[in-house]
Amino acid sequence: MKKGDRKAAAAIYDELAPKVYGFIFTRTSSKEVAEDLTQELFIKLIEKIDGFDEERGRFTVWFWAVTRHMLIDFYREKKATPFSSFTEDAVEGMMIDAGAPNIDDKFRYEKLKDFLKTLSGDERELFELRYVAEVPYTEIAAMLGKSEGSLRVAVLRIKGKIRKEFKDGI
Amino acid sequence: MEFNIFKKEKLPRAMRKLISPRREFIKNTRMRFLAIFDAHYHVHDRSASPFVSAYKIGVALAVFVAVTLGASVYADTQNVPADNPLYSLKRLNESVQLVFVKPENKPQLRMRLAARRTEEIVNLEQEDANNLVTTTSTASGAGNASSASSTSSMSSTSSASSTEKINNRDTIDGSNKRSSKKIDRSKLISSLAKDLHEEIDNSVKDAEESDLKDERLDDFCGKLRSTIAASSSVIRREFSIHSEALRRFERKCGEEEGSGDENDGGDPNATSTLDATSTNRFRIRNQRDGKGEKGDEGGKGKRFNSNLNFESRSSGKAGTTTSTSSDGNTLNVDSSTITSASHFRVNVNTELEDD
Repeated sequence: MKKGDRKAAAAIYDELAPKVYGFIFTRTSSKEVAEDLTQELFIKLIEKIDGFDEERGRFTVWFWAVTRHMLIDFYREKKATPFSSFTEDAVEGMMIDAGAPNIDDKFRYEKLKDFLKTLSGDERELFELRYVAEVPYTEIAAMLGKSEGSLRVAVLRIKGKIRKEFKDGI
Repeated sequence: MEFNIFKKEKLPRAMRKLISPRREFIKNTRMRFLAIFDAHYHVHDRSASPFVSAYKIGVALAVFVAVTLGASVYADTQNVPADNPLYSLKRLNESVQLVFVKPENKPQLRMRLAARRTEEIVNLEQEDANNLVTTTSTASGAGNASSASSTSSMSSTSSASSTEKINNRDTIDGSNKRSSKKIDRSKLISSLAKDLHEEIDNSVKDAEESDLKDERLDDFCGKLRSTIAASSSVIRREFSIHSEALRRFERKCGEEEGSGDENDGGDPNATSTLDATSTNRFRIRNQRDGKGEKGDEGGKGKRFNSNLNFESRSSGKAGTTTSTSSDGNTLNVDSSTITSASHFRVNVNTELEDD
């Protein structure tokens, strides 16, 4: 992509755009904000790609780092609510947008939302990166400057809490 | 089955669906992203470029042409019969050959094609004849069986008679099919005969236009003769209907073969013009308006006097010489008396006298 490979750019977009949207959406709880930021991120990507040095790390790590920084900037400016603070209306809107106003889904979502409120900020971010954006441990470790082992331990701790909270399954 | 979040470490599908972007958004953003990317890197969407489309069409066309050409070459080299599905490709290949062949080789090529048509017609007729023999024997066999069964059991049941009816109907259907096939084949044969006639006609025409001489003419005439000799009754009938080609063939081949050995006995005094190379033996060609009878007897026992008015093409020298021949057919002239030039035009005034 850095060399102007159009196919590579299209492949990156196809792979990462839905995940980025999901990640931002869970952080901002707004469909409009998620769309705007996703679009903005990919435009920034073209401008910033020259600053990416492949010798210093993998592209996806760099990409998610850019995404995180953009979100941090957004929080500073807008003070948007994270995933765990979704309003009832936002969830209703999500249900309608997804075309599946299922009572069970809504119930589970409410339950998950309440559960995430109990997590710390770091745990919530780790959960969102691993479970929502589906970023591999190695990349999260590189992004957050932590060891992979400590992240796995942290995720195990989150899993324990989930197991305790969702005895009947999520 | 319950989704196991502990195993896959991702949200259940229903929940993932809730946080998925709209399709329109993903599609529109992708277009915008790639447009900005193109503008940034000055690249073009090759798939949308008219040149790429033209290239793709060109490649597809080239593949089609290559396949057609390959099949046509195969059909040509295998000399597929006229009722073969590849036959039209064979004819296509022949047409291409006719376009690219040198003009002086065109008559021979046409004769080769005419020989092919002859062969195809003969094969079709042969197949027809074989089919006829098979059909006749089958029909007589069925007739025999039917008569045999009727004699052996005069009190045949109704089911037996119905079976016989079905058999008869099958025989009638089969014979209808065979007759319709025969009509198709006879149409094909007549079409081939027409093509053959055209090939020979055009071959003679090309030979006239390209002014074949010596070995080429001999070769051409030989092929033409063998083609006509090998032809079947159908072709001969075609020639009898369109006899013009045959007449022209006789004129072209017959005349050239007789040139130099013939003397116009009925019109001994005439002026002939000929071109000659550096030889002292001239052959007078038949350029005497075709009057009188052709034949070798005309000059025998006669003296052949001639006045030669010549003009060298290369040096422009002109002069007159007189020469005498005693065989009445061939005029011998010492070229040194005319000119040292290698190519010249001579006007010959001939006169036959009693020896």
